Amino acid sequence: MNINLRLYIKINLCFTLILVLSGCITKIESIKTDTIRVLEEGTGYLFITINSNASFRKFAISGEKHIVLKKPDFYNDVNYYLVPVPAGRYHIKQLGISYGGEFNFDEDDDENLWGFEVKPDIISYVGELRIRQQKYRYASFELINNSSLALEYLEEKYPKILAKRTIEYHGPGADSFFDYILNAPKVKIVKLNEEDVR
Amino acid sequence: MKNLKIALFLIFIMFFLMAFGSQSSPISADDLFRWPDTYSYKLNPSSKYLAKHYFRGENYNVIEIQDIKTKKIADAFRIKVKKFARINDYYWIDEDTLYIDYRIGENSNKRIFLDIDYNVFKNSDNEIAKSVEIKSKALIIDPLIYQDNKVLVQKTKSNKVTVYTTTPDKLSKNIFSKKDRFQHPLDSAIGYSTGENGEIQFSVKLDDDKLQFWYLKNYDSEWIKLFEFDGTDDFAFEPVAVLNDHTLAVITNRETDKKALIEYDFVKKEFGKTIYLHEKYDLHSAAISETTGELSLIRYYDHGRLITEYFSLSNKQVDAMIREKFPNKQYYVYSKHAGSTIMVIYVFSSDDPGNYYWLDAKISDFVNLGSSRSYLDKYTFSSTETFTVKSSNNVEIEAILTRPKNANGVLLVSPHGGPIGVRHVDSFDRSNQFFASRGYSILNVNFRGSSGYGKKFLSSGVGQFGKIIEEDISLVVNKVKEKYHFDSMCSMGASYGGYSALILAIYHPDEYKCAVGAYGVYDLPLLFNTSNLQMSKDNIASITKTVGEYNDSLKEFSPFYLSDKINTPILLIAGKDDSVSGFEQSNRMKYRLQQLGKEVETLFYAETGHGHYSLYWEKHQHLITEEFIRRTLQQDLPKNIDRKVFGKEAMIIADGYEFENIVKSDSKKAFNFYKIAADFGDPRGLYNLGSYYHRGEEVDKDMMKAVELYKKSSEKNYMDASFRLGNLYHDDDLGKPIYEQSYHYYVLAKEQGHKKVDLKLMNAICLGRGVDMKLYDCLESLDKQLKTKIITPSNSNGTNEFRDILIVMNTIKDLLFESELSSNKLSRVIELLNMHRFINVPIKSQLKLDDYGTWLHYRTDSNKYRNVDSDTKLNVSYYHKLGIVFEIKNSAATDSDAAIYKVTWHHPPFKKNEKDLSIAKEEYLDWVYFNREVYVLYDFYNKKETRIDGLWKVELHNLNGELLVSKEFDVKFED
Repeated sequence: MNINLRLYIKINLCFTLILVLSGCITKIESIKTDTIRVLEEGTGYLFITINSNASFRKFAISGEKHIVLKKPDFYNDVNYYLVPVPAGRYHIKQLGISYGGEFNFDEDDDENLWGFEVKPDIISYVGELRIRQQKYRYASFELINNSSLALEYLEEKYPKILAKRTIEYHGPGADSFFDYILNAPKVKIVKLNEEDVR
Repeated sequence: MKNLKIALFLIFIMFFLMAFGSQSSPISADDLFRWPDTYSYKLNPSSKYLAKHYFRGENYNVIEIQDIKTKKIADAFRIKVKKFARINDYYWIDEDTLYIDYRIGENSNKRIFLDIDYNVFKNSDNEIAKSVEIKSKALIIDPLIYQDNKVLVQKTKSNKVTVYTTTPDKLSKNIFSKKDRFQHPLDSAIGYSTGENGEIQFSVKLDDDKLQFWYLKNYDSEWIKLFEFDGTDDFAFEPVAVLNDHTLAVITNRETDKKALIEYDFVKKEFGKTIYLHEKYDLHSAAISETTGELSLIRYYDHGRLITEYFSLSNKQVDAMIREKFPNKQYYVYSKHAGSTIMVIYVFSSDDPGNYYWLDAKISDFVNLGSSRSYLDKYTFSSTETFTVKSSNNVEIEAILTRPKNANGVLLVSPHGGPIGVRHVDSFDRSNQFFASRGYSILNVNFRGSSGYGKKFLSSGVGQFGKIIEEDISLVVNKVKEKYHFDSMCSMGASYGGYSALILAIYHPDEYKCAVGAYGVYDLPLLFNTSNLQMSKDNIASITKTVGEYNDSLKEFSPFYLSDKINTPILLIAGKDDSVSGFEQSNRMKYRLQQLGKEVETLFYAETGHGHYSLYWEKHQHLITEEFIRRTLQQDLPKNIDRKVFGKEAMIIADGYEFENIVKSDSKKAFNFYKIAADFGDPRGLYNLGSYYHRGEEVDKDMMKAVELYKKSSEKNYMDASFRLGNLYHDDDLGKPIYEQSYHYYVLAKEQGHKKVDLKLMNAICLGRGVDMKLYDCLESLDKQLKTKIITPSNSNGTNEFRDILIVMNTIKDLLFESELSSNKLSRVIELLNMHRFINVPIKSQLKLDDYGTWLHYRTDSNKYRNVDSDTKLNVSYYHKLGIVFEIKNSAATDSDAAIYKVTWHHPPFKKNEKDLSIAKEEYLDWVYFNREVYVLYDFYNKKETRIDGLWKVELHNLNGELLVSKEFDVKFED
């Protein structure tokens, strides 16, 4: 086999591999309207926030499925993702920052730093991924429990979904904030109209 | 004689008033929340000269040299203070050389040697020193001040540290010789330090994550490992001196409850004889004389006061001398060289921010060098009293009470943060003085868990959130209330103090009338679940050492879960980037309180962590806190307030809400605080309040009220107010122009220092608006403006520069076309324009219209245009521009010559603004380069009021009034 043929096969193999892999990758974006949807069985809402001082171009999670969350249409300091995904264990896999390179998160670390869970039928809030880029190719990451901020956001933007679905914290550690707040007296209740349920 | 008596009486009255005034007026927050203006004094090796590092005004960071004998002073080095530029560090290298490290940019430092020429200094105030830049990045370990022309440095290359004994000259040139290299390096050392003889004696290295400390007796011996840390040790171990071949003197609490000075055999790894142990307090520091090996001094805090005990007779005598001179003060020796009796001491107390003194102990001669904060010299501060309260099981709890001279009957209970290993000290505290000067009493308690009282006391606070700690605080509060009467009480604190402030209000709802929690923790279980990184084993262990074990019972002591018991107004302060407590703590506390309908206010700072670095925002936080407490308790303002100071302070709060900064904008609050500032007579407050009425924001638009406020502001010399009044009377904002008033205020603005008013005055003089027309002055002024303003056709619309140019050109236009000048005067104006390359387009033939003449311009694609016939009805949208394209031919013109002409737009009448003034004509002077394609266009974008159907006409006239071109458009606007 001459060298050019070998190269040709290599390139073809790469393309085949990319095609096979890309078939497993789901690219999704945050839901934009506050309407009640019927979720597929075994699916739940993942709710995660990205707070970044640099615009990011790629954000991928892996677990039940490999999911790439589409970057927002407009760059904000804080970006909220409320997305229906198959329930199960996930971890933050990869993050790309514009002009900052790509960062891979180790899924086999001892303390499972970047892992979280999505439960079926409910909203699973998993935290706020805080990204602080110091300089080119140097950034720090932290997954922070900002449950009350997340709840305030949902109350403002997705009151109907919030009224219909239970929200639980499934990020690092444990927290009974949602359970306590939502079952305590004087919780704001949003009345649902029939047409909101589709 | 009678006159003398009157004079003496007046002087007496003045002193009385001054003394009374200084005691009762609140201290300006601007003065309290400022960095010291004098940073340090350092004696040179012979103690004949002093280097002083200080701020000169706001602009310069200076090191000056003082000759102690002659008192002569001169600058040795100064740097203009910019955002980052300032002196970081300095010290003497030898008798006449200073080392200076200074910052010139965010990540840019410079280091220099400064050679002082004392001969020049004797006779001159200038250039007494020459600087040499240090090119090497090597660190100076020891300046070897008694060895002429030598310094000891360490250089790091590829993680390898090498020590050199070199000269300042070689260091500055970055020259290192093998022969200068230290011959006894420790393998893998990361740093070295010297003993008093200037020889390398100590080294530090990292080995398997353990920090090791090594000792070298002399250059003939071997390195010996003294001790090592792995970060898990829960006892103190602070080496003080090497006593002999195998013994160290260390401050430790390994074997004792209190931190004591103990011998440590580093060969056998055993603790030995106790050198000094205080029965009540941890040792803060200690010193052993290198010459005698005897204990020289020990320091500790007694009721928060720094106590130094000396052991040699000579030191005891000096100490007694200083104590006699400064009774009830604390001090430390700031600069002194071995063997000398001359020293600089720093003397301070809780009611004294601190003064530097030069002292020759041999002759007991004290010279006051000045205070560290000269701007506070005019104030009298509140003093403190310290006391001890015994708990039921006989534990002594110390506390500090700051009491103002004019108390307002409010006690602020202010627990410290931590709570483990932190403490209050009884020294000058600007926060306490801020509140005290406004009438509040402040109580600080060193509850169990505080540092300085031994291990048992420290550990007895662990896991005592809402338990023993608050019992201790309440015990002291009750004791204080037995002695003094208070009408009301609030709790406030930061970090743990924030937690404590809220839990005290929960436990004692009838006693605390308000609570302020800053950067606090309110949900204790959340501390263990803040973020993935903070849940590391080490971090959880560290939290456990403070909060206690993680379990559900923590909720019983969490204000968040006890919110229903809160019955007092709460102010929550937090930083959105707080990585210590976590912003979530404060936000969820706010959420729960709001959910329960409790009274809660928030002050959440963006770009802020666990407190402020900036003194401006620390001041802001204190002003908001004090305002909240005063409003909540319905307290009157302190008596004898300086209205100017209070006005300025209200402005700081108002500006926080008004402008884009780290506080969330809130125009309602901004309006309210501008109103308060205006009531205090603050000039800018009056102006800003006026602008709210002017805009009709937060209040109904009221131009009369706006003008009234602007006038009050102008009367107080606020130039922007005078300028705005000039504009209001000039334009038609008040119904019709009143040029006399306008001119009056422009002149006033000029007198008050307004930089932009010259154009307005020029306009008035040229056109005779409010003042007699003065053509000569007008032309002179126009000439000046045309010389200074860069006027090109490319000046971008909307910029300040463009607006200025418009004023100039409109003045010329009105001068030429409105003021009916004689032909002689007219030609003088045109002559002036020609001098500035603006060439009149005198004849029609120079102007060459485009083949079609009229056209529409499409905003969406600047290259597209549509030629239209004048007779055709044009359908126009908001994104169209209407106009003509042409070229002005002039073969004699240079590239910079500009053709000047008047553009007139006639159009159907429309209202340009709310007033009933119909506009049917707009005129302006335009100028373009010769021999290029030129557009004269009317833009409808963002100008809804101009989109009126009907006949539109554009005319171009030359400066002599001759019509050059005229085109009409029959326009129909599309929806």
